[in-house]
Amino acid sequence: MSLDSDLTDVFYAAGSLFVTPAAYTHVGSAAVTIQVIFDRPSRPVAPQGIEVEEYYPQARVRAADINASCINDSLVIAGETYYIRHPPELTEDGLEAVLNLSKV
Amino acid sequence: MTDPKRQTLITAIDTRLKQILVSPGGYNYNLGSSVHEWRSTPLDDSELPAVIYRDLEEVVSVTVGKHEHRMLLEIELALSGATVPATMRKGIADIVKALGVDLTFGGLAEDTEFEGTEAISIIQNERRIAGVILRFIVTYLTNPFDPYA
Repeated sequence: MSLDSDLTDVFYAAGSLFVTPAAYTHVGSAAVTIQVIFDRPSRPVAPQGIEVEEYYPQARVRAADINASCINDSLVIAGETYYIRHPPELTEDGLEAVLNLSKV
Repeated sequence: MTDPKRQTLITAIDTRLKQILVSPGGYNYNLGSSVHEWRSTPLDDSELPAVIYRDLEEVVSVTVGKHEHRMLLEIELALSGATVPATMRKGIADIVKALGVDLTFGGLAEDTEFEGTEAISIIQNERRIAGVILRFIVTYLTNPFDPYA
């Protein structure tokens, strides 16, 4: 699901019910505070056929809030540091980016 | 009515697996905290390390006036962490050691044989999650056509 530009502004407004402040650091730059929608979705994995539901950290951000080259950038959310190790997935309208985060 | 011998044996195996604890068991991991019989729903990663066991096919033959049952016991072990190949080897050792404590489970079985493991499988996403399957043959006797004695 993507949001139109007005709704995006509402959802990502500081203090909105949906967002959490995060310290975003682009490699080589100073940290800035952005608003993220933090979640822990899951995906099934099955080593040797043993089914495990793996939960992983994910953040949705306003695409404009992060650098276009954000690989290895970091986000500090609620005191935990997460790294962007995979290219962000942009929503259809390009307003939001989904970041599958890593703690390492 | 009392349980059939196979159920009594499985209960003993379940108890033994649940004794795989760092303290007081002296094992590497607390595998005994997450033991599941015939679990068919996916494990949550917060439940790892976890053990799932199943009593599978059983071959019966007649010997000295008894039915000799050779029951295949399959034990799945799943765990996660950065050092997963090493932890998996230690986890396998924990299970083998636990079953080896008493191969007869208090006299319920005649013997327990370790058949070996399948290949360790590791999947790397946010963290490494690994699985392995261990196979044992548990042999026990009953009177012919009397699963209770």
